[in-house]
Amino acid sequence: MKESQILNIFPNRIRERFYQAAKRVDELQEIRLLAEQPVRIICGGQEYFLNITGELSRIIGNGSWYISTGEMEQILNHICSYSRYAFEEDIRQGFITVAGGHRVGVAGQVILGDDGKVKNMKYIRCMNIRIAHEIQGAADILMPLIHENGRLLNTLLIAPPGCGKTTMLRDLIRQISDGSKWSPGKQVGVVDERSEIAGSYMGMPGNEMGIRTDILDACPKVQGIMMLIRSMAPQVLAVDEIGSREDMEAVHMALQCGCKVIATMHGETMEDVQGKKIEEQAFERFAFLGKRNGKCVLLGVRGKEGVKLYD
Amino acid sequence: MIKLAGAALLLFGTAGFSFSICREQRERLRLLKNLKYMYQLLQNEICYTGLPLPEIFRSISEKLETPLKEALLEVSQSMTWEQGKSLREVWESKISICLKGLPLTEIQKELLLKFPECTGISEREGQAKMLERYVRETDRYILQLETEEKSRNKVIMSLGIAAGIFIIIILL
Repeated sequence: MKESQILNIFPNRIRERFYQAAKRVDELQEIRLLAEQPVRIICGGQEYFLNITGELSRIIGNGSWYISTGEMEQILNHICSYSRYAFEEDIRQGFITVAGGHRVGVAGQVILGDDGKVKNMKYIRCMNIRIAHEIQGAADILMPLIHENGRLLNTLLIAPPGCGKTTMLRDLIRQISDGSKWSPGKQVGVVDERSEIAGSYMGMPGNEMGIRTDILDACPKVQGIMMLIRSMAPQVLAVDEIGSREDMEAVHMALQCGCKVIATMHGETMEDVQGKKIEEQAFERFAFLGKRNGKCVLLGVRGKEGVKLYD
Repeated sequence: MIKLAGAALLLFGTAGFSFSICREQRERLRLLKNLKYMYQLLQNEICYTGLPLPEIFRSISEKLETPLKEALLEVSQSMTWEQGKSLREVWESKISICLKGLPLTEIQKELLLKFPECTGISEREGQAKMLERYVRETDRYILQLETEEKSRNKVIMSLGIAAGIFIIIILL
């Protein structure tokens, strides 16, 4: 299933060149496309170059595939279902989420509006296809640490980009929603601003999200949290990548309404948390994720006032 | 008596032939009006829903008449992500099948076949405006046909009947 999801990102004419890379889907992290440059595949923490024949090579050679601007256009048009206007907002934000929750980051020449804000993008010449990985059981290690006497605790997952925050959050949502030995199943509301958590495509989640999970797809966090509280009465709210003052206000609102909150943010240390104006008092558990030997691991868990619970 | 019956049949035949020519004109007019409606629906859906074309084709197909209804549904199904075909490939293959035998002129058929050329605009309003040309062109064909229709139909019917009477006179 996932292998075909990767291949479906590309139009027929160049699809076969990605067969070999797609076969290594479990290790595949990124496909980087840069106009008139060799196609790079990041797989298992290593960088490979894609040959015209579809083979992966560690070095640039005669057979390396230098992707043309035309081919880049074809890929983008295909991803947009030949309807660029429908992805105006996504392109403005710099990424398009495709079926399976894989994220296609785009960069080119920015078009500014009269107000000086980014309006659109043209001459898209750089694309980074980030492969989403659903790892069921990824949160097994964290589940006992974020429960206390059968009670779920407000938790903040902290990690630099690419260290498995979203993967961990996704599995936490699934386990909390379905129920586990740590607590019975709860009604979970997910505000999936970038369609990365559930990997929704045309309203249907591409990942296993649990039987009690309501997903508000492609909705700004602050508005989404309020909408879910009003309409779906969640017991637990899950959001990805909080950081702004507005995000924190929305989280506080959720806490005041009696919801538990599971959130993620970019960072590495408690100082990063404080630096981003995240109020420590709002959360009861801080889980730090990072990489060891190229693998995403749980580095530590802190309780309130920095009490070490896992190292 | 037999001669009279033969003459009547001949007259009915030529009148029927003229009628069929007029019916073809009416069918062309119906198709063109349906095409204009399709372009207008596309414009509205692009502007107000902002959905991708395969979804718009599916939703507007229900509001259209045969054969556009079936053709758009087929385009929508063939354009699903999994198949990896481009809009141009799908559109040309499905629409050219749909156009076979339809009473449209070559220019009118070509206009429809060239639809993918106007796609690829990155803003909703811009994309909808691109379709304006198609609406205008189709509207022009409709107006032309409507103006011609009345006088032309009369001429065709009169000629048909006159030809019938002429043949009867010669044969009698």
